[in-house]
Amino acid sequence: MVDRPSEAEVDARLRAYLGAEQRQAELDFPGLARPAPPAGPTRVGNRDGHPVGVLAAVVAVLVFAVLGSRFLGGSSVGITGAPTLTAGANASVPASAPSASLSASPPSASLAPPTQSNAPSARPSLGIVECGQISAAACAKAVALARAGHEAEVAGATRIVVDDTCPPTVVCDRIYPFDSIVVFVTAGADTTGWYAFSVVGKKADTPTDATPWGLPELPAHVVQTLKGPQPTP
Amino acid sequence: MDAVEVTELVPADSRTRDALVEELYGHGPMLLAAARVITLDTEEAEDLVQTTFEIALRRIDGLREPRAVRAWLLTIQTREAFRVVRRLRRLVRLDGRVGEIAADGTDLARDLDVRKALAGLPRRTRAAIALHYLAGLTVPETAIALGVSPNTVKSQLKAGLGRLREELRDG
Repeated sequence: MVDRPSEAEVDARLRAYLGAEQRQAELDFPGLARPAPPAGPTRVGNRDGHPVGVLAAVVAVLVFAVLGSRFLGGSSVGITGAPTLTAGANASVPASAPSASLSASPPSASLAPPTQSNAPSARPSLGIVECGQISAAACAKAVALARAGHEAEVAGATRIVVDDTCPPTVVCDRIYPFDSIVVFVTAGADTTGWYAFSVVGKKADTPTDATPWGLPELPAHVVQTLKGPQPTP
Repeated sequence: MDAVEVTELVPADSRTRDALVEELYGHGPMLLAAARVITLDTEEAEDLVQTTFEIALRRIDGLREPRAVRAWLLTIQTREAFRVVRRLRRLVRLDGRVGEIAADGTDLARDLDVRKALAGLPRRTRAAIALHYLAGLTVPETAIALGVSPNTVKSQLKAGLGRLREELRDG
C-alpha cells in the first residue's frame, strides 16, 4: 500500500505554494510597467467584445446570404442559425472546395432536412465558413466543437476559416487522422480578433476534440486564407 | 452557459475613472500570481498581466460594478491566457534561461515539488486551481472565466487535486 498524503495535506501544500506565489507577486508587481490608460472614454468591448458595428455587419452578411442562396442558387449557404445544409450537400462539396460555406450550427443540426431552414435561430449567428480541404459535415462539426465553451469570444465572428493542418499539396505524417484548424475572425484583419482552435479526431473526417491554438502556430496556408479576401455567399 | 457575463453588469454611479483605474491596479498582484500559476513562467505571466490591463483599460468605461472587478479582470486574463500565451511560451523556451528562485522564507524543495506537480496538469486545470484556490473565485465565477460549466470546473478541480496527490505522494 502506497503511503499517500491525505487530501488535507495536499490541500495545505497547494495553499502554501499559492500563498508564496501571492506574496512574491506582491513584491514583483510594482516593478511591472503599467500600460497607459486610454485618453478618453472608450467603447465597451471595442475590440474584444461585440460592438454594434460588428453585429450590424453580421446581420447584413446574413441577409445577403439568405437572399443570395434563394435567388442566385449559389452553393454557398448563408447562416441563419437554423440548419440550411443537407446531407446531400455535404457529399457534394469537393474536398478541394476553397470556400464552401455552411451553417455553423452543431453538426447534428446541419444534417437536418432543409425544411427547417426557416425555423427561428436558437443560437447567435457566426458568419461565413470557409472549409478548405475539409468536408462540409466535418467542417460543421469542427466549428461546433471549437465554439463550445467559447461562445462569448466567437459570438461576433464575421468569418470562420477551417482547414486541414496539412497544406493542400503536401502529404503529412499525421498523429491524428483528422487534424484541422478553426479560426474565428471577429475583427477583420486585426489578428487580436482571431480565435484559433486545433480540432482533431482519431478517425478521418470525424472531429472529436477542440483546444485553443496559438496564432503564431497557424499553418501558413491557413494564414494565407485568412489574409485573403472573404468570399461572398 | 446561462450565467451572466460579467462584462454586462449594470453600470453603477459615481466612481471616477481614475479611481477605477487605481482599483484595477490594486488587483495586479493577484493577477500576476494567478498568471504565474497558470503559465508557470515568469516572463509569460508578466506579459499576460500587461495584456490583461491593456484590454481592461480599453473596456473600463463599461464596468462600474465594484464587486465584479476582480472576477472581470480574471476572466479577461484567463481567456487571454489560452489565446496568447501559447506563442509566448514557445518564444520564452528558446532563450534557455533558468527560472527565478522562489522568494525568501519559502520551502524551496516543497515549492518545487508542487510546481512540478502543477506542471503535469493541463493548463485549464491549473487555471481552475489558480482562479478558485488562489484568487478565491467561486465555482460559478471560475466557470465564467474559463468559459465552461460549473460542473466542468468541479471536475477539473477534483481531477487536478487527484493528480497532485499522485504526484506528491513521495514528497
